Amino acid sequence: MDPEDLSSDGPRSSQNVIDNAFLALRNRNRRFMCYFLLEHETALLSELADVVSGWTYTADGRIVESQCRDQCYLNLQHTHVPKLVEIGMVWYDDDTDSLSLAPCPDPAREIVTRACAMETGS
Amino acid sequence: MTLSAYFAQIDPPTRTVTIYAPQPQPDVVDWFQTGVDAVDYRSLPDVTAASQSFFVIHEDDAFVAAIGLEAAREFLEPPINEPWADALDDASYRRLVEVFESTVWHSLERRQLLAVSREIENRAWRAGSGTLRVGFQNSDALEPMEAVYARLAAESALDIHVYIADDWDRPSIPGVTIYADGGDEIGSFWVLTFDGDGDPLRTSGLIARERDADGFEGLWTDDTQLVARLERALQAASD
Repeated sequence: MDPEDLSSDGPRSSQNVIDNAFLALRNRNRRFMCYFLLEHETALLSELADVVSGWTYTADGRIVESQCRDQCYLNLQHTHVPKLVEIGMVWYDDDTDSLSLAPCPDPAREIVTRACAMETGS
Repeated sequence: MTLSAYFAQIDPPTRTVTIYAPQPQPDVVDWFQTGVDAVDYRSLPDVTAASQSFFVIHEDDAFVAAIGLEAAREFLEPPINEPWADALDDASYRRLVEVFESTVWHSLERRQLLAVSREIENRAWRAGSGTLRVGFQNSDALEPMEAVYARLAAESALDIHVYIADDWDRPSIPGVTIYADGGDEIGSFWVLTFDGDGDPLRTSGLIARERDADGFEGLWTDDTQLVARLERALQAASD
């Protein structure tokens, strides 16, 4: 079985919450979306594309061009947002193009917080 | 068109900067003070290292670039290099310069104008041919640059024209055409243009004017048409 399908029988048992949190965090783009949502709770998808591309590529002195950022936007829109919605980490409102971390259970937030400290801390 | 008329009609796109950092960055906001239309701050989580801070530039709501704060610091607090210095060839530095081009700055310091001037002279130096036009507020400002322009002229096929507001009573500079007595129109502005010898990737122009004690306001651009118009305004000013 593809590990990405582990959560398909429902996101709410505590075992599934942990599985889904790690599923969310096993991809770098999804991790940085979650880190930013942890800070702001909601954000527009267009800003998340700015943040994910900016945060992941500028630290080593590179400049992120619009082409790179636009590719990131498409990846988030078509792959990573649907995955985060499917496993119950975020809500997505396609009228406003915004994401919210509201449905994310507390244990999953705790895991995101620790991952953020490990990956982006000094 | 006069230089004054050119300066008055500069009409840049709406440019905004959003700073992403774990703590507010007032010194970074100062870099952009009125140089862009808005500077916003959005927090990153507290646990994030300050070195991960970056900012995003939008022009008329479209994404232009994201740049790390540490990389930008090197540009905005620049060392002043001679036109032929290798340091100016660094690719990411060059890209930074391009990103900040076409920005109307309202609080440029002399040091930053010097850095931009060296950048334009460096483009001319690397192109090796084409026309470089430079305005100096007066002969005292040109004097310390004599050796630089003499070397630019001697070691390239550049066509170099220098404009000054007052008299030039020193010996001529080999390879450099000097237009003296340009008057206030030349004396009020800090101007450089390089036509790129027809290569739009090397075209570059700068115009700035001193504002009281606050430093300078001005524009630098690589837009071929804007540079061509600036060149014509500079030539007209010396007629």
